Amino acid sequence: MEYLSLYLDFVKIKLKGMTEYPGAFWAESIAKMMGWAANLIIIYLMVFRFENVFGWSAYEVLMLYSINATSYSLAGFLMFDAFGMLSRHIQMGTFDEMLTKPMNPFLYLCFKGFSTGYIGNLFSTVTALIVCFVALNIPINFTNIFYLIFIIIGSSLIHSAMFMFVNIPVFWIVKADALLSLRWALDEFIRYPISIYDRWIQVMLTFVLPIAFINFYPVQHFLKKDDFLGFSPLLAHLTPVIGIVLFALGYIFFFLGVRNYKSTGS
Amino acid sequence: MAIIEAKNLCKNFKIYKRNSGFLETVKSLIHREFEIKKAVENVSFSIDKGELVGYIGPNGAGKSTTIKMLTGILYPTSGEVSVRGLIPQKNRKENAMHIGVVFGQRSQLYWDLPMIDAFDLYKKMYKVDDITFKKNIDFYMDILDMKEFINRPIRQLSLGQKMRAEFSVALLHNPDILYLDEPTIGLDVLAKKRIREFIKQINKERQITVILTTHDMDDIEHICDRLILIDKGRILYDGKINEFKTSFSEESVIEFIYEQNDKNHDKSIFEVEGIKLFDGEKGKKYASFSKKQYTSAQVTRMLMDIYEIIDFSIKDQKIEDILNKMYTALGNEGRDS
Repeated sequence: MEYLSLYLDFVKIKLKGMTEYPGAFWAESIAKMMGWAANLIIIYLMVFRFENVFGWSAYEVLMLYSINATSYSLAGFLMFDAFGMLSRHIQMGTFDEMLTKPMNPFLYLCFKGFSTGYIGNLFSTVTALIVCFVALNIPINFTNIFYLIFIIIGSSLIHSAMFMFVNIPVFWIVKADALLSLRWALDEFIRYPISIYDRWIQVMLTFVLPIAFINFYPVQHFLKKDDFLGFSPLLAHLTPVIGIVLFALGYIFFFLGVRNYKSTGS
Repeated sequence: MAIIEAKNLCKNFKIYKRNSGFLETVKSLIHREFEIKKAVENVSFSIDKGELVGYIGPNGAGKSTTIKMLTGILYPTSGEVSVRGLIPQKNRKENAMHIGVVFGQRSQLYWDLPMIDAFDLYKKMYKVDDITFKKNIDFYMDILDMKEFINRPIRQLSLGQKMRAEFSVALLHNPDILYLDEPTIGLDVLAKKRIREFIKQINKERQITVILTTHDMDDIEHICDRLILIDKGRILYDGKINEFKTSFSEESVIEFIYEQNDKNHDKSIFEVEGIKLFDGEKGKKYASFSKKQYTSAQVTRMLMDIYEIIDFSIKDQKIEDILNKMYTALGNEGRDS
């Protein structure tokens, strides 16, 4: 806790840095906002055209997507630079610095890499979420907002773990581009309700690479759906647990990587 | 009492073999052969509080690897490191609280932040109390002459200013030990001089132990009392810098070109005790001698008596030359015994 204000200082530094280049900030934010808005609209229009996908209406699918995108953006604030740039830190040897500070190297890496690039994304995806709530007549009351935050924290943790798992192998193999594309491929799977896939894919996305917990299971609580593919409806509430477990595994994995860090000569 | 202790320190890296040819490349995807490169091999030393130690060696000798094991960045393959009685890899935070690090080619400053803000950040990070903070800032501002650029973002500073800034943040928390990895790289003569004087001063005033790696022999001469020389992962020399100088840099070399077609001279004709002749490229010859024994003028005269010299120059011994000679000398010694 005593370090909290120190870590927040790194966020302040980044925000301060951002104000040094306001043009770049606005250009990036607006570009991302528009890009993501386009994605959201395409999803909506596609499902709208088919009326529904396996019993999921256009707004329901849009809600799946926007919960996924919101939690991805939230994870991105701390994880994108930290782990997306990890390969470069390792190639250049700049990772040395994380290990010579009186701080937890994991938290230092995350907070030092705080990225202001996700404000635009978040704006689009939260807007889409609100639109879905209104269009689907989900009451915006204290319980629902609380539950939504609860879920989004959980799914942000899952997204954070994904950032870690695809990038931490660079401690051993230096470059992990292939894993990154795998990650984006996985992300494609959960754009739509996973009930549309074969059984083995459903099982895989639930138990092996449990990314269905990012959106598919928890969103059913709001939609009062019962599309649990024969699994227990309790899965709807497991997102934060899965998130914490995956995040913890990623954290352990990170320190295994640190043990194997080779640095570079200067 | 020893503040830093390294015992039989080893660090191995796996180097994967690269094979040429298509078939070999395909094979290497499945099974890669590798060899173990011993970057640091059985290095032991002990450094006392307040010592100024120069840690030198050619590129790839294992200098940085050793420093990185001392700072806790790398885990040793075998052997032990103890810094202030602790293992740096296991007590990372505690260790970091008491060391300062300046790696010449890596910055720990924040690009968009002026120094004044970086100081506040480091104050918090290292839990520096207000009195020490104020005292140190005033001291560094004054001695490193930082007033003119304290409010400018780091990215606008010159390399020399940046290096001064690096030192001031590395020392803000009054560390016991300062690790410097090529701190003067790329600096101009004046900036180098300033940094050297600064290092000596803080060592004297605060009893900070300094370990310095560099390729600039002048750094070593100006700053250090003790020298540890390493090559191919092994320590070749560990001792006082004065002794190092007397035993290895007293040689001087004259390079000359002579008319070869008149008589068939060879070096057997020139047999003066204490002067050695070597053949160089393109008909050049070198005569090396001890400055204690002869002056350059004497040797030149002797050479001119025998050879029809066209051109000559007296070579100041470069650091690399001295070092090269040393490695050979020590290497041979090692093999004989």
